[in-house]
Amino acid sequence: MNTPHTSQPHTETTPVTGTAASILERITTERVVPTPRYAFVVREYSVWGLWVLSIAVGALAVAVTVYDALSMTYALYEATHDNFWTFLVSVLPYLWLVVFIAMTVAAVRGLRATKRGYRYSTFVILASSVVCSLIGGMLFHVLGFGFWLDNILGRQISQYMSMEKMELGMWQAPDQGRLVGMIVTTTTDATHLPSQTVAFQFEDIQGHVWTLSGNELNAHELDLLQSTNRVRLLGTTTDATTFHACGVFPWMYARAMGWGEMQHERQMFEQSMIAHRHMHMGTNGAPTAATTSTPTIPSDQLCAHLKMMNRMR
Amino acid sequence: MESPVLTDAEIVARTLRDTSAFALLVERYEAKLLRYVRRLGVRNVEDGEDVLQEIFLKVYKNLNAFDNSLSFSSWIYRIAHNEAISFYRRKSVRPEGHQIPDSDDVLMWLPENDTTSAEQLFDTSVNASALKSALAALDNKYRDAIILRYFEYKEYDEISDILKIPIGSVGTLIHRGKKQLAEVISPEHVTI
Repeated sequence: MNTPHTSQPHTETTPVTGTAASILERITTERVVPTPRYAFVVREYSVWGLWVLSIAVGALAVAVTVYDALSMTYALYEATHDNFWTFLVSVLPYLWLVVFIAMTVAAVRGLRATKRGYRYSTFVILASSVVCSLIGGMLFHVLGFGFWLDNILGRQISQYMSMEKMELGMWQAPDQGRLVGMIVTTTTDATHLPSQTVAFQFEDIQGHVWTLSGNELNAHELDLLQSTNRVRLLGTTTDATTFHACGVFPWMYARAMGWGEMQHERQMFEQSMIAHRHMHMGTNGAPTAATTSTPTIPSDQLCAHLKMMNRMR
Repeated sequence: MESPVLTDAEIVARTLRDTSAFALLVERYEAKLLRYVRRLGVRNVEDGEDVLQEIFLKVYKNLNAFDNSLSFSSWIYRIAHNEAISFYRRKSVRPEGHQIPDSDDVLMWLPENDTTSAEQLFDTSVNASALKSALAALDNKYRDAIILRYFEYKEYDEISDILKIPIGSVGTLIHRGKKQLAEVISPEHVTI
């Protein structure tokens, strides 16, 4: 709104005196010139550019977070952690959450700094920035950028804990009864194992070859083990080179699991663990004679004595 | 021959071609802005003149930043407000109180436009010096909004543009400012 002032018309013929004269004199003597319009245009575009950049980086953070969140092995949390909360605390992608928050703050400040930014409330600006980052993040996730960025950073920066490194760290822990790897062959040299033992040569991701006992595995798990794909094993070591398997789970890294698939894996995990427990307890819920009469755990009941069994409800 | 009355935007456009046209803007706004910066607390006459000069120099330098979709008055008041704040910062002093020569106007204006509990205060007659002291004691953010609203007679959207805050916040600041004003103003200075 630039309405003319009608009370005191200004004319070109009015002599310049007083403040106006001294200001015009200063403009002349100090050679003051108006800043070119392009400088303001560039500034405005820069602010918007920074906002877009903040949103884009925030969206990438969301994409990696979503990828991480969907790739977590929630279904097997008892296998790796005391309870769901300790699991969640240890696997949350803190770095990306911090990046997302920092980028949201930057985006809010950027939007505030635009020509019209002050007109909107903090809530509106914050909400719009968060929503833009979330939408962008979901899009990036669908396009695979979350996985790509996490994977690239994990390979290029040794300190960066990628999803792959985290999963491997959680599952490659022989002393805690977890292994990641694949079978090399069905072994013919397992004379140190009890007779009737289904044995395999299993190479973990650190190159260590284990003699794997699969006596307590069900048919589905044996199929999975022999598929020659990389798998996760849950069990216990019986000596330095022998691992007694109680559960076999596919290695899910590099693809996010759907909710249904995660539920299925959870169901399989629970069924397998309950079967092991029943083997130990007997159908009436009492410990079987074998486990009560001897302190040595029979080789077909090792799984029922896994420490993690206590965490299963 | 005299030219027709020009709008602010037209003078800005003309100034960009011919510097001398800037005198029209200076003459149009110098009294208002000098009064405004004095209300903001620049009481010393020489300081006021200096601040005014800096305001107009800054306006001239930034003429290309003026956006026609915005009121020129709001834009120049924004620069004046920022320059007054810069003046305090340079001098590292608190505003030197507030000149309230037209407090009677203010007192008539306040109750007509807002319906808050504070309006009862302004239904009464308040001693000008008491109002001056009370304003000086207000938080800066409230004082800026109160001065623009009741001493410069600015609308909410103009105050929003001058202070660069959302319009919703303008209402909040004025409401809270009046409330704080009512709390700090001494009862003995109020006569019913």
